[in-house]
Amino acid sequence: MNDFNFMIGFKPQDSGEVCLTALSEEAQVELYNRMHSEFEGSDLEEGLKGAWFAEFTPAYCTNCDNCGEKFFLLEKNGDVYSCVRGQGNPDFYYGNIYTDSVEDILSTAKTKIYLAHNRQGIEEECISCSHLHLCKTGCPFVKNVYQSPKSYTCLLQKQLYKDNDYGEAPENFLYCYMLKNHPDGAEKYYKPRVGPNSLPDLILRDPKLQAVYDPEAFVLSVDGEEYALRSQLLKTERDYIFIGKKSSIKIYIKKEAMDALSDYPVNNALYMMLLSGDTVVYGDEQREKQAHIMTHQIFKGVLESNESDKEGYYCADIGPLLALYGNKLSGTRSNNLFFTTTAMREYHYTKHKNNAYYHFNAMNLPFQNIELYYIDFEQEEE
Amino acid sequence: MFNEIKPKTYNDAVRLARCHELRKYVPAISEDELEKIFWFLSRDKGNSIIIADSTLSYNWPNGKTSEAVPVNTNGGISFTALKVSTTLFTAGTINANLGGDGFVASNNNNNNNG
Repeated sequence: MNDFNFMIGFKPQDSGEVCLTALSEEAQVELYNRMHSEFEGSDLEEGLKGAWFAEFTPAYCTNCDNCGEKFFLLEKNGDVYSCVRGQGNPDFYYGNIYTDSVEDILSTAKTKIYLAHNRQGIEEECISCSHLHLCKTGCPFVKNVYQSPKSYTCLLQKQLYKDNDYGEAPENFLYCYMLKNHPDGAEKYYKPRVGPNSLPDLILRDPKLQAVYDPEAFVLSVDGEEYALRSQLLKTERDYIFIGKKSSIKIYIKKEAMDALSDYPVNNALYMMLLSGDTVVYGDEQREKQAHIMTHQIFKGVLESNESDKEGYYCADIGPLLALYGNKLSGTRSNNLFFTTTAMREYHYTKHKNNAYYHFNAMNLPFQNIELYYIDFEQEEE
Repeated sequence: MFNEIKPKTYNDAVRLARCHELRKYVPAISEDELEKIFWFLSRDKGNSIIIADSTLSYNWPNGKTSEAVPVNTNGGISFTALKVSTTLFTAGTINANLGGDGFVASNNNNNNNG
């Protein structure tokens, strides 16, 4: 009696079919709570706390990252479907074992389940739910029946997870889950380890380095699209821009950044470096490095005299400057544009001399950057 | 064929360049798929494609996925997720398996160069 398990019915896709009436989420919880009050302390308690609700536990198909990776239904004619729910539905048909390769069937299965989850997207409520690592938003088939991004048994599952200890989410679960299932913007869920003397740790302990690495200090605007620039050593994604002769390119510098780390801010300057994607080998290390194209400084007084349409930021129009060097940029490998200030740059090199851990961690240029290509094409109206 | 696409406008040229860049990350992608991506991105400024975990998905401006196909991501520049639209080209660079802090510098450009 303790070994059977419940499956909660859902409304049929074809409303003309005769089918059991689906329970509302509230009714599901009511049923669950009543069972608890009736059977706790009896011989049936074991089932109540185990197999009866196994469908909602982490090992079950409805709670996988992607059930297409490990659950299949095989018909006698060789057709492979997701499961009894998806049987006969072309969206959950993976192929035929007699005519398709196993590799194709597996990749089709994974892709179809990914698509089934992504037709509905994911809700913020699920992303911030402390049970996401257990529920994984539920059965993709039923989500499509209900046209809902979340499990049709959400309330019941929350209650069940509260009553049983299934453990905490593993480290960086949210990032890994989002990357696999809803990858758009998954990087923002990544939580880096801050080990002793790692770069994030060194920055955390030094307010001056915090100014050097400030992710809000420089904002680049390219044809109206804004990029908050981050240090290439800390960023979790690489942005590429494609610019041409007539591109509108502005750099915004946070006003505090021009005063930071400088005894005489009037002598401080925005410091830009343009490096080619093409490399050279030189120096004592004989290391292959990006070739330097241009360094350009704009002093604070000039920035102050420029008009800025961004509150709290100075602005410089750098489109014409970059266009001057368009033909020097690599056309095949991404070029690199860095921004800092002369004072921040000086502090970085001082820290380099004084702290071996920092030197080691900041071997490559640490400044805020973006990668770019120059498109040599006459601009026309679309 | 993708290789026969001739850009008529600057925006076409940028889209084409993005598709060529995409091929550096996913060298096994077919010409047909690249051509499809080029035209999909041309159709609406909000359209985007995302490649992650060996799946290429075509997404509408509301973020929902219209189509997904398997894609072989071996042999190119390493990435976690790649997003391309008319206005963006972003490649996720986290390497969570490094066992360190997970960040990866994009290029060799060390300090005595700067």
